Amino acid sequence: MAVLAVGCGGGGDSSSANPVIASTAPNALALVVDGGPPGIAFRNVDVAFVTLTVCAPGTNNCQAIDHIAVDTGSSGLRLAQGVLNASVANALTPQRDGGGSPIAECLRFADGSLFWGWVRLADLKMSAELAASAPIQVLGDPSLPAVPGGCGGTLESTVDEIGAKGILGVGNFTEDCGAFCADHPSNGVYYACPASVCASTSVPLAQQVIHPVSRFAQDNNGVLMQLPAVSPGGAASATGSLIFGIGTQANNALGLARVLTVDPALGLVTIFNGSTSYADGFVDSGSTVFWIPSSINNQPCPASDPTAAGFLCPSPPLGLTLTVAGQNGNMASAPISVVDARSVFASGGRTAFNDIGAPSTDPSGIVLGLPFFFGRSVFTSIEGMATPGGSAPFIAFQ
Amino acid sequence: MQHRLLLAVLTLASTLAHGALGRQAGSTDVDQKALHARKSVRPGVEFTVHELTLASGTVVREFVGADGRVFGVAWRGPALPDLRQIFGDDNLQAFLSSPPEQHAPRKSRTVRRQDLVVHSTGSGRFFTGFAYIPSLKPHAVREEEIR
Repeated sequence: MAVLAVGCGGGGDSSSANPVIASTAPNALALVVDGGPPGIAFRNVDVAFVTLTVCAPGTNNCQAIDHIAVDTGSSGLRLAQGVLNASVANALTPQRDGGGSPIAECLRFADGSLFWGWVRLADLKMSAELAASAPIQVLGDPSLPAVPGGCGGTLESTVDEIGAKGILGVGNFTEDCGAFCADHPSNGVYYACPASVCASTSVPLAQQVIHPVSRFAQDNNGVLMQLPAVSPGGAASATGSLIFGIGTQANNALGLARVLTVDPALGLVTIFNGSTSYADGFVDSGSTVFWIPSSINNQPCPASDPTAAGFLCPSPPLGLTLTVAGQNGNMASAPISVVDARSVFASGGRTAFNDIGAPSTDPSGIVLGLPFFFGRSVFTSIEGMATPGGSAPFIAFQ
Repeated sequence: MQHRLLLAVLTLASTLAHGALGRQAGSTDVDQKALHARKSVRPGVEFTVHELTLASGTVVREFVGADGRVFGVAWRGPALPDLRQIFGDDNLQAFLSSPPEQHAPRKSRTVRRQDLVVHSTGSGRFFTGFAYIPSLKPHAVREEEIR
């Protein structure tokens, strides 16, 4: 347990947050927090979506797709089953290995669910930016072979199962898997499928599912997410901006945000609550809550509560002045508040909350999920790319 | 009759192929081979730790009690290990089919049953978790030692 030095905070004063208006800049997309794609089986809370355009490589055969969830905790674009119309879906280029076999990917998640889909090449248009021939994952195509035995878990493919039409991973890493999958055929992530049976195979870095922003011609060193402040009790929806690049344009300067470098292998920062440190700290737009471990008096909601089970119900509200520490020794203050989820869900119909939590599964982990992003500017750089804050992967916020 | 024989053979095969959790210490060797791991063994007072280092860099620890059975497993690293391999089919099914204790789609799941406790979390390039069988865990061993 480390003890904090006095005066190492800064940058996290939420009172300094300015109202954010959806940017129309050529390097930005509108970022919308709402219930998710119309007509889905459940209503999302605290998921931020963008609309982007998917094209067959080198063509104008394109389709705009709304309600793609933005996830700074992963890298790469994944599209749900059936969201592409046939003319675009059939024109995306299959990613193939050296022998010509198409490549599929098994992406397993911590909760036991998994994505299984083809790796396809697509031109991705986001505002005026273009990621040309970027490898993406397309879930649930009828031509997919059966899920291999080494890919165990609960298959999710559809918009209803995912709660979004896709997931746009804009995290710290360039590829979703990296050197491990390039060097080891038995990685259990990438599979070559010469016929109806697939076998695990190594895939070079450049052919793996990739952070699309890293393929832009400019503004390609990371992203900035800006969401407006929301009132206690939440808002029906919220609109901000997903801005591409860090320190590349007038609208993405680091300003006073301190660069907090992450563990280059795992992407973690250390988060302090007073003098207690949590080594598995994560700033993640793809987590819908603050995850608070039981070593902080987190007070889970009653399991019997129909709307709030699985969330936190602290009474009185839990106010924490956390400090986020980078590997470079920089620190930034991160005051947060978690309220009784029953009180904010009671209003009904709201989808944007800055103060909801869930119990952390990892006793050493605190996750600053989407509630943290309201009223802040949060930067996530891409490993190895030059920025005014250096080329080591980092997060920064103010 | 033939079907029953086939079923028995298949059951035996899956017993051999999968899952240290709940099985004899020798199953840690099965996991080592299946996961293409390096293995080291660290004896202790209450339990022996069989540590598997996977090619991904993820470390899997399998905890063997004095009765020679694997009562717990833990993992940490950049890639989620094959949970079917280290849990076994039955424990994996129990994990997948039980309601989670928290709202954290895809990124996290805690399951606490009488016959199985699992904490699994992570995203991107970070995964960590632990699982144990309460009836096999030595009384003197605290949950936080299974890491």
